[in-house]
Amino acid sequence: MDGNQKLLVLEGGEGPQGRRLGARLDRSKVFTAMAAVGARVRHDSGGRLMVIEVPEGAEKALAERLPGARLLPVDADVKGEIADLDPTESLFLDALKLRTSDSFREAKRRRKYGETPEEQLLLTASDVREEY
Amino acid sequence: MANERMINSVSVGVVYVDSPGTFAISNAEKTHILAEIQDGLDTVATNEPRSNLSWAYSTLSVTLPNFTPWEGANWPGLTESFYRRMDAALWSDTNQKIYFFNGSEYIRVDPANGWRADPGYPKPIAGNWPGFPASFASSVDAALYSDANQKIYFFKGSEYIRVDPNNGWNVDPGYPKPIAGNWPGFPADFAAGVDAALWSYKNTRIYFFKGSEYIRVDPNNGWNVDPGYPKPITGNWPGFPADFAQGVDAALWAVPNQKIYFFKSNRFYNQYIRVDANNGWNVDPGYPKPVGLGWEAEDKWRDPALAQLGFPAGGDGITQLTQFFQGGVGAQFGYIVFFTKMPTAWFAYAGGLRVVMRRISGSFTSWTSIDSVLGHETGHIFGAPDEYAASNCACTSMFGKFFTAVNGNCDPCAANPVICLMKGNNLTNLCQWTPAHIGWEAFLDNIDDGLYADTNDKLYIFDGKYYLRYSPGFALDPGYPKPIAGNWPGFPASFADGIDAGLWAEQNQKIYFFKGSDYIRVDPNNGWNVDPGYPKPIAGNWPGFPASFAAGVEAALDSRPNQKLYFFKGSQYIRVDPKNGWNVDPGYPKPIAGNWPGFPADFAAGVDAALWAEWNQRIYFFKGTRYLRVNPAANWSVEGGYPRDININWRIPFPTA
Repeated sequence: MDGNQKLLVLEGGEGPQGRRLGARLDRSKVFTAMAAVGARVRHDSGGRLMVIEVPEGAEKALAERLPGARLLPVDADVKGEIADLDPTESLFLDALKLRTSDSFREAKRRRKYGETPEEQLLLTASDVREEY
Repeated sequence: MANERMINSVSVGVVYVDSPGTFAISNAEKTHILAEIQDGLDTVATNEPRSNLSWAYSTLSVTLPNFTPWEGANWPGLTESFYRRMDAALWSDTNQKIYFFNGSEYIRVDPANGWRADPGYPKPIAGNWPGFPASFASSVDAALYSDANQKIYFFKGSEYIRVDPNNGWNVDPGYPKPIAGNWPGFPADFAAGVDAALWSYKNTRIYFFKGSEYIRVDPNNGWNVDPGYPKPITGNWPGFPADFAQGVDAALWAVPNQKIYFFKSNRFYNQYIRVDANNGWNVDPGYPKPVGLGWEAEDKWRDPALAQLGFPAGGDGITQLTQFFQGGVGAQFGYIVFFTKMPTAWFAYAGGLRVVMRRISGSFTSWTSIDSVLGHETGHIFGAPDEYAASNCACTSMFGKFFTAVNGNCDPCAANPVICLMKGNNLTNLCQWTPAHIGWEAFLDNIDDGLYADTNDKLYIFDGKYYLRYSPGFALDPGYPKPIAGNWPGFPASFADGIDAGLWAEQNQKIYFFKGSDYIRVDPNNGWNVDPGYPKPIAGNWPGFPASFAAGVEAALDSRPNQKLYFFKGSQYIRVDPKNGWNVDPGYPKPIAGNWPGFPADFAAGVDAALWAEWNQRIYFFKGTRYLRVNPAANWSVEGGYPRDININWRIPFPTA
């Protein structure tokens, strides 16, 4: 993954219920702060966790605009440090950890598109179903 | 206004649907799946950074504790491999049972028990059919019960064996034998092997099928082939669907209902038709049907999963769940990806707002191309068509939701098809047409220019090869964006590829478009055609233009309040007076900064587009993904609340930063 990607951990402060799916953190404030420093979201857990792309030198400015938020390396092991992780957040972190692991990255680096049995099977029939 | 472009924040609702035992999905599998999804979609986004694409994930797990696979199958109790295809089918009058063969296994069905499979099946052929040669135990091509001699025949390649059910179901001595020479009158291709066979109780004949032809054998006439055969299935078996007429996999006559069954697998599942020999040998209404479940296999687990989550079944539930996810993360568009091990017709497919991905056997963790397969399926969600040959694509078919474009990389007809996302699942390469299909062809990081046309009271916005048209009230006309090419007659190719600037000139009721150092003039009162003699160079035809402006302009504006024309280039602008020989007014160029009150610094550094809107008597300036509005009646100042995002405010989805 790109070197300027960071894991943004937002302070919820609303208890577990407030962070669950469908709850509304004040996310527009977060997005406004990121836009102001040229940062952009790559992956969003829908809760307190985001993988963001931060321009060189803009980390401090972003941190100032988001007091309480933490900007960490994407492979930071923070599972134990965030209270009341809900299942979505927990899975998001697990997936991120796997994604950033050396073995996963090496496998993706070595892969050649179209070589797995599933990719070859996919090309044997139309896979569009528009009944809905 | 729904966003149908692959831009901005997209909600990806991942729903794991499992059931205890075989269909369970472990936490490790869920983690692997999500990591693959993130990696794949991240790579898709890198193909167009201007899309400002980000993915917002929501995950839900649904466990169905009492799920029964293949419930509702038309032939209950078979296993998945038989629901996919079968090699041979057999009615045995001896025990009034039906046998289905697939590979080295067979299943026995009891019509007297709801046509259900008997318990304990499938079983291996080997060891259960005494005397079968190894080659026949590994699979058979066709099976036949002959009422003429109460024997069963199995065919494999150019050989056959005969079984005597009244002698312990043993293979008769001396078998296998070659078909050739033992079945008189068999054409050479039938002697080389047959696809299916059946005994007809209607006329005491045997029918053999091979490809699109069949022959009829009369056991009462020396087992000879009847004269006039082979015949094509088409035209001789009324009501046969086209794919069955091209050949069948298996056939049998079922005595309990005196019907003939033909079986034929398609790419996704095994299907069958039922023929009534006592009704003109016609196919019964309502056929073909899936042997197991067709595409509705998804419904059997998806709808209970939706119900468990509190949503209605079918498309309504999918839509509502999508909205639930999308609303939760504040995304502009959303879709759902179901991951399951439960039965589906195909292992990965997309349509509407959902993708379905299934692991047929084993763990999801060994599926290391979830990323690229999901990337491909996500392409479908946003309107990209398949481009590989087996999809039966056509190069002239139009696809796309925001833009529409032909399927120009369709493998069978494209001149030089390339391996890419929709033809080979290559996440890092899009073919030439996919950007249009998924909404990336234009209107990404800025617009080129716009103008208001007095002739038809419409407003136009241009970007790249496309343009939008608005009606009074800033209503986006249906069918837009449209390509410039073909819709603006007489445009030179370079202008059809995109303009730099355009304006309506009230003085002569003409429209001017600028591209590089040239311009063209369009006459809306003459079929919107380009006037003869154009393009012309700006230099020499627009008196007083500074050299830098004559080399090209970035935006052009006709200002109705003072009946002047403005041209913008970098941080400067000039003003032209059409009433004074179209000359540049004295004192120009001037800097934007300081002369256009309220302009933010980035707009003062240069604008991409400018246009007059007659409907509200305002001037609009565009820069990047934002725009501002100027009120000439209020000291030409930028109005409060601007700049704003083009996104949504101009009735189109547009990247926000």
